[in-house]
Amino acid sequence: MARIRFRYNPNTLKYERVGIRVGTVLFSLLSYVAAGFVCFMGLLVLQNKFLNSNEEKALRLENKALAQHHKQLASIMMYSHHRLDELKSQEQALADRIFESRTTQAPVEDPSINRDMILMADANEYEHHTEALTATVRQLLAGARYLNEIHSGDAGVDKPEMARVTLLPTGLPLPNFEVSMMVSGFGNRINPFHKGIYHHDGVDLRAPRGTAVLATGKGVVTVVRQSDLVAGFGNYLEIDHGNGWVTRYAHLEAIQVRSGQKLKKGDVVGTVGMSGGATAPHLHYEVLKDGKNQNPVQCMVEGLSADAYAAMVLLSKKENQSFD
Amino acid sequence: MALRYTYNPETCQYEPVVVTPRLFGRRFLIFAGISLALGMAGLVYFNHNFPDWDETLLRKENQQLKTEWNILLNQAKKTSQQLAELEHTDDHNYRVILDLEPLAPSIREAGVGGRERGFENIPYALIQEGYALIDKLGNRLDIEQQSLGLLAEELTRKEKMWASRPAIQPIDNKQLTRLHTIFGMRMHPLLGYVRPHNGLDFSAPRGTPVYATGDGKVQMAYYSPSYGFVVYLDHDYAFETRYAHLTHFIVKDGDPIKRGQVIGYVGNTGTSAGPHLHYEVLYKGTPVNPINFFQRDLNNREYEKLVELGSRSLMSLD
Repeated sequence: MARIRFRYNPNTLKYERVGIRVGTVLFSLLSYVAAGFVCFMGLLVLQNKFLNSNEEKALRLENKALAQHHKQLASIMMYSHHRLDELKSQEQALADRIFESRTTQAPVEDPSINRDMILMADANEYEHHTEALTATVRQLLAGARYLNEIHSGDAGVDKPEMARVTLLPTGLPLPNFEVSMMVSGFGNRINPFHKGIYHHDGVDLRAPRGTAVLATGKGVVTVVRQSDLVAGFGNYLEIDHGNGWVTRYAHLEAIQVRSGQKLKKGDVVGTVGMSGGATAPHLHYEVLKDGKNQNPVQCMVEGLSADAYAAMVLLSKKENQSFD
Repeated sequence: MALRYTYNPETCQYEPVVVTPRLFGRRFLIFAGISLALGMAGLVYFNHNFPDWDETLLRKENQQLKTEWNILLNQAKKTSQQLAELEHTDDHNYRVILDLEPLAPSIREAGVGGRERGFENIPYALIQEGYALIDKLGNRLDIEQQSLGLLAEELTRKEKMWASRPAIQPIDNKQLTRLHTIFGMRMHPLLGYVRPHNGLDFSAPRGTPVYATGDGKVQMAYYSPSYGFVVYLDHDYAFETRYAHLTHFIVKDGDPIKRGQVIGYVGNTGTSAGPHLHYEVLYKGTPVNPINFFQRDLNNREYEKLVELGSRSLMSLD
């Protein structure tokens, strides 16, 4: 019922029609919108407060459970971690007692760290390294080609030279060889019985009793010695590889070859044991050249990656307690 | 605001518009109604087009919680991995060294089910997984702890064994004038006939200290017409040692002995042709060549040589 409105104009003394002005319309429209918005907000709050969908209820429950159990589990987790640390220190104590050395667990230098450092170095230095590496690789490739030629018999290499290279006892004396089997190396070590320092003429390789012991190169068995005595090498054998190279395998449980028997590289010669003077089942492995003991690590190369070999060398250098 | 008027055609007059409470109320109701309708329309539109605010918040919280859970689970997995490494070292390092069988995987995995659990009833996979992981971790920690305890015990036993074994020379090298590496049959210098010589003779000045060569206890210390003042040590683990022809001994029966402890002094008592120590090592009651049981500066290979030499020579002091 739009009734026409009038306004009294005192100047003209007349009633004048009040026109519909834009301002008024806008004002009333705005007030409706504002009030509508207030209503909307109010309804929204009411809806959120009182009208929960099933999904929302489930979420609320789940969140509560998650938060609660997380707290509980996190504390158990912390406790477990603490226990693990304790076990690790117990393990460290065991290692210290067995190897008489605080350095056995010293972190082995990770070759990849150096690699990262090379990559992070500035470009010039990087180039320098690349050149050095390229030279080394070229050298190695040349060496490899030479060996290939020898093996294929193409390179008029004379027989003694060929034998010199192919007869070296470069194999590994244990199957499934792992670097960590190297428990004590060549050089001055602590004797496990009287705790004095003595020269350890070979390497001690940890392995369970009964593990097969392999010939590290082609050769002839020259010495087989059986002994019940709980001192010395126990059951041991020697293989002559020719050119003055001899390998010796000691503290064996059983010897499976005869003196004079010819062997190929990788043939089983016996099993790991702790005969003789030994504190643990292990293989004592020696390499001799012209009757003099060499560091066997230098010969133990076949099947080892450069990184593994480097790690093994580090392990073999620890002046710890040997097993015999 | 100026008064507003309406024209009343019945009275032909302009009449001022009076806003009565009734009129005001009606106007307010209309205003309120329209705004409410607007608000509701807005709500319907909002609900239709936008996700619920609370739900969004809850979902966000849920996401965050799940992230935290995954972090926790990862930690558990990492710890479990570290434990696996420890178990591996235990099985393949220490158990090999200590000559024990590695623990069977069934034992390592065992124990699950023995505990009061009940997290199976929680209907959330993440929580179940978490509890299962940590439960298993706890069991494995228990077993590893037991295992390490056992290894330590075994090592203690072995260390005692290693400490007991005769492993040093009973006479200091500085005092030693001569080592007679004769073991086995030989002509007796005083009795004048062949009989077994069950030990080694260490020539040294009278009064030179004699050291126990391994841990153990004194079995007997007495005077014998042939051995003179003699000490018998029992080293357990089937080893015994004897030290004969002493001027006197300074231990008595049953004394606990440490390796390197002075037990007496070199003399010339009993059937002896000069001051020396007669040293015997017995393994399981049988005399063995003592040359094998003192490694001071000798390595195994030098030993083997000495042993050979020892069986060749034919001179001894008793």
